[in-house]
Amino acid sequence: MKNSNLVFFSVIFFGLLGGTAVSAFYWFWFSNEKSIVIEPVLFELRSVEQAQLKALVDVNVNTFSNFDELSKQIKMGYDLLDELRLKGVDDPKAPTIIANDIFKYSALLEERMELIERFKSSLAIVRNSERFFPETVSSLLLGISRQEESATFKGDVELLAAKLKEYMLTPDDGRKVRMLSKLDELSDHLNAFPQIEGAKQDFFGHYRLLVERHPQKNELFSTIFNSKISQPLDNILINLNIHDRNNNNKNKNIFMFILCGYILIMMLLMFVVGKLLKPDTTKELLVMKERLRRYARELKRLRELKDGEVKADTGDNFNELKQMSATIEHEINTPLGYLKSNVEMLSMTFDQIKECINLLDPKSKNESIISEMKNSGLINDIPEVFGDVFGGVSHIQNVLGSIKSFTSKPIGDRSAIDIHNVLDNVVRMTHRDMDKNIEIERDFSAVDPVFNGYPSQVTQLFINLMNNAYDAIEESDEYTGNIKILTKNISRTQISIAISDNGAGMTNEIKGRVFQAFYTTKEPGKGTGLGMSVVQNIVNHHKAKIKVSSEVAKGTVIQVIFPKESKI
Amino acid sequence: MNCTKYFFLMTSRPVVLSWVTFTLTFFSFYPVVCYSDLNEPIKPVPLTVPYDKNLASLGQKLFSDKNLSNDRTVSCSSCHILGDGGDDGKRFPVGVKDTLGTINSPTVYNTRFNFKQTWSGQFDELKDQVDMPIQEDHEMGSTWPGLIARLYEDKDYPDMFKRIFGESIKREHVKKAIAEFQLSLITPNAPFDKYLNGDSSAINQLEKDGYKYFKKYGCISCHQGISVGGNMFQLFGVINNYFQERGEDIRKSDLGRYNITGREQDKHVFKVPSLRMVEHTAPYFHDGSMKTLKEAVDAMFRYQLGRSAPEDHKEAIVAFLKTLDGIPQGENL
Repeated sequence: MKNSNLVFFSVIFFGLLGGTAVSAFYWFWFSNEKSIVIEPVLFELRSVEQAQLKALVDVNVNTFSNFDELSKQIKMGYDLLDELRLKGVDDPKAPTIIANDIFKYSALLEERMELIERFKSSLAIVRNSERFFPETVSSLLLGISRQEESATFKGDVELLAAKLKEYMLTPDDGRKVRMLSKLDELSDHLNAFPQIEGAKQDFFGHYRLLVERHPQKNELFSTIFNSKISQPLDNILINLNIHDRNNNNKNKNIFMFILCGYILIMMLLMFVVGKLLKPDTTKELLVMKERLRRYARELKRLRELKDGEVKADTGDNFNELKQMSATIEHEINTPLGYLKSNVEMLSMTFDQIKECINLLDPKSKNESIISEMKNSGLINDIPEVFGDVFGGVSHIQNVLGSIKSFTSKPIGDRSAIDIHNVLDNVVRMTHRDMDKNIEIERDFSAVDPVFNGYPSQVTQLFINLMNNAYDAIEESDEYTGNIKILTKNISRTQISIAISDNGAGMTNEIKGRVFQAFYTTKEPGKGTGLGMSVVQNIVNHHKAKIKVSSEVAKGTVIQVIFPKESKI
Repeated sequence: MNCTKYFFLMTSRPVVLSWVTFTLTFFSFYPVVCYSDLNEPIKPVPLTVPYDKNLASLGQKLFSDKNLSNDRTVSCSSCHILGDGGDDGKRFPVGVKDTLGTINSPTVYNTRFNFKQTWSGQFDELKDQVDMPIQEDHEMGSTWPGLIARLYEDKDYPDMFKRIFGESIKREHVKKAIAEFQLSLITPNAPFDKYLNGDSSAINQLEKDGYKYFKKYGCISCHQGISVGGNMFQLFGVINNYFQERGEDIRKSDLGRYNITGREQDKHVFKVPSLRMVEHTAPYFHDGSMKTLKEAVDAMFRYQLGRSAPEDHKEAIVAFLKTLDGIPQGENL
């Protein structure tokens, strides 16, 4: 048994150990596995992007700025893109879906950085021309106005300059074409004046440059700022996260398979181990089961036996006793009647015979017989004999009466009984003159002493109890007897009558047999042995309860509790 | 990265950046007052730059090693003479078998400040650029396997490479070493840098005027930053067409960035060259057409700025440009 326990627990222990190992394996190898780590590069790229834009704004607003910072950021951008491609595309672990995003993003960023390079060139040129253009205009106008022939073109130059200014604010292709044609026209006209060649060339050169490059520069600037490259960057991150999560889910599934397989293997193992251990235990169990079954059978049989006995005691035997008592009563009572009346008649006739004998002359012929009869005292003894016979017959009649009351149905109808009246009567009826001084204390404290019952039976009950009490006092060594009758409403439905005496009391053995029929402790010829049986019969009949408490040499208390609303 | 952390980073970064930007903007009023001298579009060359000394010394050895060329006649330093402004002083460099190059050799000084390398901005990194002169037929005309085999024959290289890289000689290692040496080449302490740093007596009045004109005529638009150039592309011939007026056939190298990108708009677009060491890097321009600084300034005024200026202004500018030359500094120099 111990050995099998050890095996069982070791199987469980190693099972748990194995489970932990499998889980640990999963955590170390599968969970949170990242295909590639490109987040730092992407964050770096994001900041570089923004730094590029910031530097771009700086160089755009500041006339004397340098492109070092911008160039540095662009260089960093290219470096980071290389790193990104190295980690996100060239890496064999990199998911293909990311590669697409990275290509898209790097194409966009490279395009933007290319645009920034072009913007740098444009900015440098346009800035110079913008700064220099007013100077060219003024020098050209100065040159023109020196000669009267060329002074007529002054207005054209001014108009063109004004138009350029307007055009730089709101670029328009149609206007550009018109401006350029007008410029060519003016250029042709001014070719006639070689004196102003230098100023003219400056003016036209910068004019053309501004017309071409100024909108281009602004367009580049807005294109750079409006290029939405943060969305592709976010896409890379999002797709990477999704991919990693899916990948991890796949790993999780693999892990679940491993775990399930492991659990199945463990269950199989436990099954096998259980199978190996089973024969011993089952044998023992079977033996024990068989034994238990036998015990149960035995117990059942015993219980049935006991129940039968109890039934016989309470039912059939009691009824038999009753029937037998009735038969005995009938069979004995009738001859007893003859016997009693005949004895009475004999007694009376003997008195007459005695007188006759006394009247006989003693000196007669049968003088000797008569004198012998007189002298022997026989005549005097005979009345005593008759008396004894008469007493015996009377006792027999008493006993039979008791039996009758024990067996017969109650006399009279059920009616309301005032127990206090009943007890008064009983006390009066059972009064005995005895050598001892007897005090009877009546404590009728029941407020509602009325209950339903058979008056004759209830009276009989208390007569018996009172008689017992008297007898007990007579037996005791106490000089004064004391009988106490106590009535009490112990509840609304119950009334209790207690009769206590300070008599001899009973031992536990006697108390156990107190209700047994024909059991008596009284002197022969005195008690019938049926008193308490009759009491119990009546108590049962009234659905009442009886309690007997007694102590040797101290007394007995018998309490009878009647239900007030008993339905008999 | 979990959701919370991601969200926090995504939201906090712009917030923090904007806060920092605001703070810097707000408090930058004080530095503006204190260091007004420094608030110029040209910035001084730093006195020291970070680089790997071991790697750079290996690079220096390779840089001056003629084994790198096919016929062992030229080294890097043949055309980038470190003692003479970092270039060769010729219109076009002379490569292996005395073949002439197609583009003027630029200086190797301050290349680390360039935003891209070569005239056309072909390479983002110096180490990528190393490939070109080594393999170009009219420059060194080598092949990498042959070159590495030669390096193995040398008594020092295998050990040096082993010591530095922990493994045998490889193409990438050679490139990296040479590039690292170039990273060490700077020219700090130019008179103009000293002037920028608050020493007003570092340059004379003419030079100061030159700087004023440099800014006034708009040279500064392209030539700015630490390198006074080298951080942007620009069309050569903005106002007037240089290539038409040059009187020479247009070569492939004249197309500039177009050779790299193939886009029409990139024709004749070049990296704006650095004006550091400009006094020592004549002749000028990608085709080496201008022999003197004065000529170059004249050309710039004509083709790029499209304006005329008095001669004394141009001379002042030339005087200013000469103050940009610093003291060459580099590994084993």
